Amino acid sequence: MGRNLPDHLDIAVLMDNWSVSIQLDKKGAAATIHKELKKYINEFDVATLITYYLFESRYYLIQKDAVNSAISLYNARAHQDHFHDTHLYFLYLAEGILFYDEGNYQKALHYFERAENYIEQLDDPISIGEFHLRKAMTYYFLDITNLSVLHTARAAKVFKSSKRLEFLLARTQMLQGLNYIDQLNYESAEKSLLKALTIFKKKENENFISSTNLNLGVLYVKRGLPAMAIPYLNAALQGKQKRIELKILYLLTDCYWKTNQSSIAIEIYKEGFRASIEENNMTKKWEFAMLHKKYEDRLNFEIVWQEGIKYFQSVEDMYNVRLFSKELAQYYADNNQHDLAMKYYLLTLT
Amino acid sequence: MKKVIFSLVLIGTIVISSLVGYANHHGTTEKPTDLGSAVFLLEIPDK
Repeated sequence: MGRNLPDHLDIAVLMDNWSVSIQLDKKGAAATIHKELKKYINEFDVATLITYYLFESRYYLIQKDAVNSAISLYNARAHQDHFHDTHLYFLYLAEGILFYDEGNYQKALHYFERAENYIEQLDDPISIGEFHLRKAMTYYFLDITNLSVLHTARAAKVFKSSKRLEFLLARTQMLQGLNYIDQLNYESAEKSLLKALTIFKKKENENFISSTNLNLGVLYVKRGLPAMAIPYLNAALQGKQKRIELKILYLLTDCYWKTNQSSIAIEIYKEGFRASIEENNMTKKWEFAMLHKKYEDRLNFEIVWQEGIKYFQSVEDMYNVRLFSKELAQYYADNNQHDLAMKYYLLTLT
Repeated sequence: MKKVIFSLVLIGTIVISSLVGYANHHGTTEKPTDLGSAVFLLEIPDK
């Protein structure tokens, strides 16, 4: 370590405090320590400098600054020859997190798997639990349900060990609930999601209350119970979480149409369609348009659904390709248009 | 006859579909559910 560091300054202690502030999302404290540490960056030895850049990458992530986070990783990689195993773990973890944030789950998984090679270097069980939860979340979005279940169980084992990890346990229970939905085990899904909701309400965390309400709405929609979904979706909407607003509006529109409340459905459809245009969210724009054709404009149903599916194929949104193709194929099968039915049934296998 | 063949192929398609499941390991996946906004943050409460 450099000679120009003030006597009172213990970089190791400061670095530890920074790490804890980042983990606890104490943005103000983390920013203050970051500013302080940055002054002495030229005095750091290589190992400290690598740790600094890896923490800095994480620090920028909590500030929702993916660009600077990636720059920090780039700076850390400049010293890759001096990396030890813990550094490698945090490097690959951070890279995985960046890809997860982009929605590139395949690449995220690739980096999480590389990080996993070094997980034995960690002596903190919370970090190990966190790793399993992240990997489980990635598997969930890749529709690899069994492996998501496996990693969720490993995360839950860690988070059940202490009352102070209750929030993390609730996040894990929420994911468990979603995996149960994918396994069509709706009763267990309901129990897990309600358990998670109780904890999030206790913690007064509006963000996760909204997410769980949305997920309960999805559960009841999948069970064919739109009337039961509506109160949860409305509660999710009241949370005013912009990030998931379009998803909620879409499901609500569908539920109101399914329960023959057309006038409310049209109002919410208009709101959702307009918002999807404002946000330039092409996927949701197509979803809303297809929903409208299904219930209100049957003349244009076929053409709009065919074009919508083409769009989802073009952006490799395979979840929507399968979802809408299945329904369109059923429509053609019911109308004895066998070639078209076959075409869309085959798309459900993509 | 055409209808019978179609039905057989259709049943075959559905059976294969249920066997292979819906695993997609390519491209993006936009599910209707949500895992929370704090992608990077696990919010460990203070001791």
